[in-house]
Amino acid sequence: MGASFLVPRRKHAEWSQEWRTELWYVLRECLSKDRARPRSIREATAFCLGAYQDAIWLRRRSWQKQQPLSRAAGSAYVCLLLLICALLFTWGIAHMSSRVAAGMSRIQVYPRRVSDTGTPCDCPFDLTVGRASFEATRLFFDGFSHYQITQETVWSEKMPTSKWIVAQARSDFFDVLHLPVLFTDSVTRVPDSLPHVVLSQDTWIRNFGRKRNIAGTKLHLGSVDAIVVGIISGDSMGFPGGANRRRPRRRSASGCLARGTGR
Amino acid sequence: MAKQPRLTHITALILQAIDSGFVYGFSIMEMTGLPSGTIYPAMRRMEEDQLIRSRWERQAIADREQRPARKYYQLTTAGRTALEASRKRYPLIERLIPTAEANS
Repeated sequence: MGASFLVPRRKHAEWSQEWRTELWYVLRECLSKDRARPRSIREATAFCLGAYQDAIWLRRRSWQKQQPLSRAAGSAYVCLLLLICALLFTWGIAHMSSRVAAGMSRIQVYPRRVSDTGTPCDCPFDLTVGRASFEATRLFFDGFSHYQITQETVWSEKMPTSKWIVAQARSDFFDVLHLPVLFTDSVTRVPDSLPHVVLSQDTWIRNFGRKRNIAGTKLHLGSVDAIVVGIISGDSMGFPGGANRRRPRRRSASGCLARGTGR
Repeated sequence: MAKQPRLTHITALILQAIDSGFVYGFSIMEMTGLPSGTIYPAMRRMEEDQLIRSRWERQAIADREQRPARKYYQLTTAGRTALEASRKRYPLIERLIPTAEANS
């Protein structure tokens, strides 16, 4: 009997004997009454199908005895308990996320600076962080729309082509950090249609020889034309990614502001 | 506090059938008119609840009559109490399955 496979092993023998016995009596009754009339055959078949229900009942009973907790499954108490656990889990995740975010913001303000004294670098600019660190930091900060670091090829009429690390930032980046931008006297003449660039002090000295009327100088940053709007003082150069120049976004959607220190 | 067995209509029918002298599975099934898939699991549950107990017929008796040994059921003390309660709850049960005494 196929149903016997459903019965727990320890009850298998007795269950099979019981149902064989009962079936013997059922068949005897059916045959004696009507000599295998269709109705009798149907009754015998229905009786045999009952064996499956009995076997399933035994199997479920066996599982219930093995797992006493399953009796409580689906009850209001268990649902409430699960809800509390889910709330605690969510609270834990939210708590951890806020701590991670706080840690990230600290790094943003006070970045670690690592000297790249290992592998020689043919880049003409001053890498204040190692190449690997730069990549890691760039990826780290790429998630923030207000500070994104890229490497750009820069040239101008009075300066040879060089590679700079350029950080794109929002136009209010320096205001938010209370960083003074120097030599902005002539900034009123700067056209607003071009992205703005704030140079680091080192870049200013190396590439422009301490030129005081630097504001208004046009640069080609990669494929974009930009215009210098000022210098950031040397002691405030601890920006993430060792960015030597900030290219703040234009005040409109297409603007940008940047600072650079090319060597 | 001991768990009270469920006193369903099926339980009442089976208790009444056993008390009326229908003491093995097939006869209880025929008397109550319930399908085998209902009767046998119900009787297992009642046995767990100690309302009934079962015993196998001695093989010698079955051999003498050239048939397989039957599994007989009988009421326990708790089963009799439950039967009395079920008769109060389902008064028609006694009419559906009259006891031997009532027949005589």
